[in-house]
Amino acid sequence: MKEVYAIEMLGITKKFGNILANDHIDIRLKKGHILALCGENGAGKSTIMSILFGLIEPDEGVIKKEGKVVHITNPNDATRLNIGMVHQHFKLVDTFTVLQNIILGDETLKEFNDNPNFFKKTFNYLNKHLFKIVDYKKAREEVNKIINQYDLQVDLDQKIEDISVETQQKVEIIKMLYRQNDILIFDEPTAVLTEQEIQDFLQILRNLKKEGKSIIFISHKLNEVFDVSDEITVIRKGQYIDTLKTSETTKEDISALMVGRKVNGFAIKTQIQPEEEVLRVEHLTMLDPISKKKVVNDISFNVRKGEIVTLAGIDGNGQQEVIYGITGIKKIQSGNITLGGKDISTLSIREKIKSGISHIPEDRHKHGLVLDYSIYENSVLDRYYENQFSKYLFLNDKSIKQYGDALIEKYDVRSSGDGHTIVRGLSGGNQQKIIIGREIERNQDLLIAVQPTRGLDIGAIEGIHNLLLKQRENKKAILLVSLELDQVLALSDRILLMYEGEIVGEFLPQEVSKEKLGLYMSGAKKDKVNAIKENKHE
Amino acid sequence: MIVVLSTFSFLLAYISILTISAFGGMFSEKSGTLALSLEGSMTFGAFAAGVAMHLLPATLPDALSALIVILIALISAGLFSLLLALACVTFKANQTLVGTALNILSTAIAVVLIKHITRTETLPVGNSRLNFTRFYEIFNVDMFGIQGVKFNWLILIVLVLVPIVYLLIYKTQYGLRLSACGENPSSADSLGINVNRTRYTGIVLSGLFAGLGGLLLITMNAEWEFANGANGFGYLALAVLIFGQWKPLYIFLGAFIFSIFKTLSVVYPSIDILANLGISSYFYLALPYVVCLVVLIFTSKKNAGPKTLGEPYDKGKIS
Amino acid sequence: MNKIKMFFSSLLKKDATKTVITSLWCALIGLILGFIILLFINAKEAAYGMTSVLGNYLIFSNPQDRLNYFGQTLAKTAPLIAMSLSILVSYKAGLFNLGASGQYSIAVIVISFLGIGLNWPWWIVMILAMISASAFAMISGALKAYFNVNEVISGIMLNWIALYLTNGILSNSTNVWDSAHSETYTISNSSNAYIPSIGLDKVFAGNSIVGLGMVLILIVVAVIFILFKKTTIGYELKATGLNGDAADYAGINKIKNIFIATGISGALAGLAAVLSLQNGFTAWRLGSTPPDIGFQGISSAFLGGLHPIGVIFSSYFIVHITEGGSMITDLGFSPEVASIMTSVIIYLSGFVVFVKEVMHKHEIKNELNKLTREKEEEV
Repeated sequence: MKEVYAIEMLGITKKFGNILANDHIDIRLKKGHILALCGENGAGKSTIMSILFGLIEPDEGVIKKEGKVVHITNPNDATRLNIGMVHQHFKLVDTFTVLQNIILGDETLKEFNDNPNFFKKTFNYLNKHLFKIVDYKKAREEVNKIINQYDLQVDLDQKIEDISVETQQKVEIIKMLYRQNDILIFDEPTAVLTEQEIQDFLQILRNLKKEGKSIIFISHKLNEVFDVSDEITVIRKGQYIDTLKTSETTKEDISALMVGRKVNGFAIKTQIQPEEEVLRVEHLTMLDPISKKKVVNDISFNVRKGEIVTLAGIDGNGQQEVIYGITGIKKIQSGNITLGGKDISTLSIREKIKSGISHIPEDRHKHGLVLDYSIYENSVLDRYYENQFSKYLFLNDKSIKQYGDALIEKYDVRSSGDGHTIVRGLSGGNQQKIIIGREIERNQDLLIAVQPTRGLDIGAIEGIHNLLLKQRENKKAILLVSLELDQVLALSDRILLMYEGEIVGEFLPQEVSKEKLGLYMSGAKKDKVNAIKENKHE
Repeated sequence: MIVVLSTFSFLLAYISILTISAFGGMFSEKSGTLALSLEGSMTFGAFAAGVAMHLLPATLPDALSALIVILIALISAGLFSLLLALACVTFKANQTLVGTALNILSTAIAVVLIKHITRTETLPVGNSRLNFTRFYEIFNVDMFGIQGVKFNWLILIVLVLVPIVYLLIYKTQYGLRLSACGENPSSADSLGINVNRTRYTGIVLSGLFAGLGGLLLITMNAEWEFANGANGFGYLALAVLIFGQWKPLYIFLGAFIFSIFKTLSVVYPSIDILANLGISSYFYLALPYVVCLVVLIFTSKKNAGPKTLGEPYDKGKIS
Repeated sequence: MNKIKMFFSSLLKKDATKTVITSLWCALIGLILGFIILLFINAKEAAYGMTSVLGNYLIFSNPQDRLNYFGQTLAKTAPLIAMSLSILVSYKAGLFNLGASGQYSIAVIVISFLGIGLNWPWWIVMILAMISASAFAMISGALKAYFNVNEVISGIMLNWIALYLTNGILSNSTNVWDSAHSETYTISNSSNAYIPSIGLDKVFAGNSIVGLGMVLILIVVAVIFILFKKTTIGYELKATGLNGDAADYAGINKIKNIFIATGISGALAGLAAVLSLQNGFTAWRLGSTPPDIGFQGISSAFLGGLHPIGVIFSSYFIVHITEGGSMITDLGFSPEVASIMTSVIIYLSGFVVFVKEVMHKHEIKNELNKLTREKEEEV
């Protein structure tokens, strides 16, 4: 008997330049099933889904809907075929209301058809073809029906900018249901949710499935994948690997397929006894500039020489703000920050950098580099004013060049030319090497690294881990922000878990399990902690 | 009495010019393109209409002539604004740069061609001033039957357009989609809305409105000096647009406030109390811009304008 | 190593060549459009008209006349260079100085009072004019720095405020205002405020408007060139312009830079007024629109590829055709044909950024291809 597929994507190939993003990928989604699409960052998951949704056109391959070949060249085609997608970054208009967002692009128009009155008839005709007045009342009724059917409670009159991320996701789901989509694509839907919200979301998926929707669910979190999916398709580096029935496989097997080899640990950490304190943060509180909500709420911790302290937790729980506060990018509301015994709470960014902070920011394109500057120019971005590189306002090109060449050599920065090459043309890994090299070479007591391996391939990640561990051996104090638990467990000496602006737990990596961390990350457990560790011999 | 009435007639005319032109700017900016070339579009519409008024034979019936002139003003300014759309939407050019270029271009074209048209045997290069007394008579009627107090009936068109524009922006599919293209084009795109096409329509609408504004501006008088372009009304309309926070009713209100100053600068010598104050007309002229700056100070922190104003939409960026 | 160096220097040259070539294309298309308009107006005389526009002083047969008008063109180029630099400095720092006309107007007030009214020495007048224009420009800067007001919009508003201010003040000051001509008195070459000729007038057939101003502007060009090429200030300004956030993270003080950029930019706009008025070839006319030179500066800054040396040539070119344009009135053409040409050129230079970006992307793609190929070979 032949299986009925809601969607088949066969032999899909897409090249960007010379890079094969998708190489003959097959995806088969059974009707009324949930298919999980798994793979690491950069495996090509988003590309293949963008192809299905018509945002990207494939170079090769066919797409079939219920056995019939279809052509999808833009989102309109996808919508016509009842394919809907929730993007990783929501496609919502912040200043519009929920209702406006739901109907945008597929508005319900006013109709006066039943009325035999000649004028109203004419008006109706004109409205249909010219004015196109939106019937918000009727649209609201339709949307309310969906809300009740699927139990997706939202306030239709609130503006998107005023509602939570979880509610925004509900809006995205209602958007698809309003368009009567029966094939639903979710691109990393749980990345922005807390543990409890994830459970609610998975329940929504089950409800959708019950109503006969077919779902593709992109994720690399295996717990939820095993919780909700019927089949799992694994892709790796643009290649199709395998499709397995969820009930007939294990998490270990899938994770092995995803990375292509057995996952083993990271670089080996040596035993180091932390020495004197470098950074001390006491009772730090920070407010959101607009909502005045406490995004960092009375936290205290310290970092000592020779240890890596990690701020862990789900994205958006205040880790980033703590770093902004320490580095001076955002103002702190109250509390004290001392560096090497000196109070630096209210210094400017430049003064803080000078007093001994190296900072590897999360977003290298936006914050770490001037993309249209050369490697040389970027290599002195936060120290060009030092005597070594300039005198009386004049840059010393020769010493900058020398320094840049040494950096290129030492950190193996690869480009098509020499140090005059504009960094925009470099690969992500090489760009990151410039930043990390620049910050490490400044040889400061405190090194702050925010998600230093984001979006890099495995080889590059290992290199960066080794560099960080080497700094630890060199007796630097390192403050790391990471969202990936494997990384957190492999690198940290102490793990500080942040939830809603507070440090809710302090752990030693050898004494804690991922499951336990997960409980704290989702806010299911909290202990208010003061994470300042004093050295006994001091 | 005459003074009061003529003050009123100036006020009404200025409100209409600024409202209609700022509405034009609103269509362009709501869709995401800076309306810096409003002055240029007004000038171009006025110029084309001016040439038509100069060339149309007097034998043509008045009503037909007026209709032709109005259509020419609209169409020419609409076409002119296509230059903005081409550069800024299709070629993603710097909008400030292109806007500036178009403002210079339209005045230059107007001056060159009008000097060409107005030249005579004795005057090999004409002047950049056009006289259209006949059309001044056609477009203006005596207000309340009082001689010397004129009412330009194009104002009626503007007044009718105010509620229509309001409905268009807030109640129709087009209005919703237009703002979506300026606020979050990638959302609009993902919902199958053609962002660039919508931006084109917004820009062309802005041209049409500005063209009408330009025509109204010059037909308030019996002649016009085209070397001065639209006499800065395009820039003032831009100020009104910002003052009005890109909302039709606030724009109308802003046009009203700004027109008071503009009117004062014209009529103050004939109002004894004001004339005795001895304040220079330049003060009244400068005041709207000062007010606009103050408004900007209070509103810019919040960034009330369309989110992607001034940024071309790049479809290739997938986030 | 040497090979890499050579390869790179050739690449640099290529980029410079690219800029020059695209600018030349813009200029050419602008000229062709201008010619079409001339053809439309008077087909018989169009060719001769175009020759006059392009030839400017070259159409004179008398070498003395040629030299005289050449000098005049050069002297009128100086203020435009200053204006282009004003646009350039702000643009490099990520700002668009659309308020240059207003800054020019403020300098005009100072020059009129101190130069025409009080007959102060030229250099004091010059310095004070530049300082006041600079201060006026910093209003836009302050609004941007502290209230996030878009500098383009505030610049436009300030242009009009400055225009009415200048008109209002000057037309009511009898000692500087020539009410018969509705303009200020011109600064004559016997005045203290006149920029001295330092003998250059003799080189240009006695044309006294050529003088120290020419030398001054070349020095200013060199200063701006060095500022961006060699100094930490230029490094900071450019970093802020290219990526304000990254500059912020690196501890570069954004607010300070906004003030530096608008300050320098305004001083240069003021210098443009100095070089026009204190050379005696312009006076402030009672106009109803902000002075054109602020917008012309935008044309020549972009046509010059936003490079300090480039703007010397682009400014000269624009003045050359504008001056040439003023010579074709006898043929029945209006001189504004030249401004049609220049505005078409700026319009097209908007496309240049796009074209260059496309070329750039293409290069990156090639580079990436090369890199992946190398990687594959390694494997």
